[in-house]
Amino acid sequence: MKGDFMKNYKILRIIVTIFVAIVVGLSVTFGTVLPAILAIVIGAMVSYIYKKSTDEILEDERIARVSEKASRIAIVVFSISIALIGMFLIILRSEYSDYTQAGFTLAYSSVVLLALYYIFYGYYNKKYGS
Amino acid sequence: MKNNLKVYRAMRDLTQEELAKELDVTRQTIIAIEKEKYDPSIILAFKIARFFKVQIEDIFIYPED
Repeated sequence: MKGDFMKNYKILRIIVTIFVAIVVGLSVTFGTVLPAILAIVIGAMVSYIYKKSTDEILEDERIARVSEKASRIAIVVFSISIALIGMFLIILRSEYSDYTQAGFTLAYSSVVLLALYYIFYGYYNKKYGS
Repeated sequence: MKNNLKVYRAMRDLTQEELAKELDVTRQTIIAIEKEKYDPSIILAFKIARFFKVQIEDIFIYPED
């Protein structure tokens, strides 16, 4: 049934996301890259194969719009959060000097994320006629 | 935006799933349009109107009208 397929697809996506997040997290902890890359490739392949195994419509314009909005809010929340946390870690460098490097990494990450956002924003803005 | 999609679908005796298949969208999208929670793109609006062989304005009612 279509409803079951959609439900299974959603569950599969959640499982794949959790699996990839755990493997990438462990890879970072243990300082190895290969498992993270393998997990991302396997996750993408599983999702792709599952989608291709049916004629059912699993994504359409409404889902694309929902995804756009969710991505946009996630970027804003994440970039502001890491910028603030990074800033606090840098400000508190005299008390927590061990975390200063992490603070700089977070602050620079937020800058890179925002830069990427504006690069792609400019690209799509141009593409769609502005 | 208000719309008469449910009425037209009922006139053709179609289920939401059948209509979704005809329009290449998910059933959730048909539900969202019928509940007026989602306004379709102009392309989907045209597809819906062509499917029912009517004008877009017959199905979708612009608030100022």
